[in-house]
Amino acid sequence: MSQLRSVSNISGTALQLRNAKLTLRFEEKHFRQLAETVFDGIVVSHSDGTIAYANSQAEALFGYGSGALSGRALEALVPGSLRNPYDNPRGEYPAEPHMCCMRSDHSLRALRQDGSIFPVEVRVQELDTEEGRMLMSVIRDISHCKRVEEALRTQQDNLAHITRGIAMGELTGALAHELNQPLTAILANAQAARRILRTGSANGDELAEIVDDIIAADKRAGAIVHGIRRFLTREDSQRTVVDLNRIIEDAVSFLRSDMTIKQITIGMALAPTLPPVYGDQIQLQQVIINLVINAMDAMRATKREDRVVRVKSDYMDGKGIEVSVSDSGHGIDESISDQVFQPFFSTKTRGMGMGLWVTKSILEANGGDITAKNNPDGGATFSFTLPTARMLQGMI
Amino acid sequence: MKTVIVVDDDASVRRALARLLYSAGYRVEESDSAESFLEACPAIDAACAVLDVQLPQLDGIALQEKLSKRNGHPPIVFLTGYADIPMTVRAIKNGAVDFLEKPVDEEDLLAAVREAVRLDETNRARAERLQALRARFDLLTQREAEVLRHVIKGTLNKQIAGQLNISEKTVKVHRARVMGKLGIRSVAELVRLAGQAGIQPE
Repeated sequence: MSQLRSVSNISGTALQLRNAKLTLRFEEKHFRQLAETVFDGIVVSHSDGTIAYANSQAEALFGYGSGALSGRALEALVPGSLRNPYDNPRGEYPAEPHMCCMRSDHSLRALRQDGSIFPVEVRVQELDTEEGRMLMSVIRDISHCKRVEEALRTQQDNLAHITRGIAMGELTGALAHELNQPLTAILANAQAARRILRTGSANGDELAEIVDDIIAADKRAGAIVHGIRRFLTREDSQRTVVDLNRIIEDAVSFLRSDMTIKQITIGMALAPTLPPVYGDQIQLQQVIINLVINAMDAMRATKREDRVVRVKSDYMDGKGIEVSVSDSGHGIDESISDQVFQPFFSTKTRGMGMGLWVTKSILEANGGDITAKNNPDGGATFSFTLPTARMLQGMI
Repeated sequence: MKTVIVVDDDASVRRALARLLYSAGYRVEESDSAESFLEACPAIDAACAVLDVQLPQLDGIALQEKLSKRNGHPPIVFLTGYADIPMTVRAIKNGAVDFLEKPVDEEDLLAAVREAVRLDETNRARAERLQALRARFDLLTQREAEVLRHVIKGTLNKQIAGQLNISEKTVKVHRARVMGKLGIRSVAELVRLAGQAGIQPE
């Protein structure tokens, strides 16, 4: 324990120098009392990685008995896959003692004696002692934060799922139309074929053509049903590398019938190529669908020939990908412009006020953001940005 | 062979309906939008138009309204992917033969088309009769037509003479000529025919 005495000597000297009146001498006893009082685990180790001291919180945290950590290697507390960050610092720390925070992204993991792994936050402080350089690590278990984060994400996923159901409900008419088209083609083709066969005027080529059309129409109906199912299936969000242009096109094709029924024209100005983003495909599709439905709803009172939704995508160096959805509707009233993204806020008589809020929370969960503004020539534009997959990689 | 025009923006639906109608003995023309249909319609001389309600830009109902302003058009059978009641009511009030939901069964479609073709025949026969009638009225001189409009209003010969500033005897001569040219004997018949020909009383 002589090392520890020297630790306290340093601190004590510093305090005496700062305030001569203060006669308190900081001793090992005091250090231990302090170390036993704090909430976090404290581990002091030699420059070769041997643990010199661990407070009882650290012992409990890592599942060791009283005094069982002293003399062990620091590596025993680190999962194999993560050992690297601890290897290098030893002996390579700058000459001046300093404090640093290891990783700020909450991705650090620690290893218990029973082999289980838990998330931690660690702060390390170098100490210059008579025994040479030592390392003091303050370790905090953040499993609780992680659990809260996870619960929040699950809630968000659930909410996104529910609001997808609501969006789909609004599209029932359009989807019925969409599905009835191939069904009409199948039925009429089959009944035409039956008539041709009955009259005995059957011609092989003609019948083959009819059957090909039936097959194509059936596949089209199948694809529509598959799309709806995928959109409505409750799944935990799965973040993968996705092409935002593709997502926009899929979402818009979902809404095409609804636009025909509502006599709305859509203009697309997508960047020829976009760097991939990292996100949940279905939820990002939901973002586009929400924004386009919102734009369409804003144009109920607009003259037929003026009803246009414009969707634009662009890559902006350093900023990521920007997507905007504009309409030629009534615009956003100044007095409510700061409320449109609030939950339960709606200007529609039958609206739940969830669409834009969910849209914003999905985008934020994917590292993006959204803004709304009125167009100079009428209507409103909602623009969101998302970091590219490469940008996210750089952050970690 | 009667001609049916199929208007639907979906090529696969259009082709399938055309096949079915063709196999039932109709000549079929296809159109992919309301606009191209409006353009093609007068030249085609169809006996029935099968219209999808959900057409882009100008929808089926708006198309029907445009058509009704024209002088004669084929009777309309509407098809829709999803029907709402106000839309159906509006279409039927505007004279649609039927309003069928997709996917449509051949029985229903062919029955509606048959009815439309019958209606078209009736319309055409009535138009022909009307044209013949109008041709007879066209034989009248300006003065005779003037007297006619007074007569069907129920004005007495004496009053007509006063209003037109001619003698009562001349009025009687004009009346007799009108009856002669139209080949009728009674004023009651004259009133009826004038009504059919769309001639308004003075």
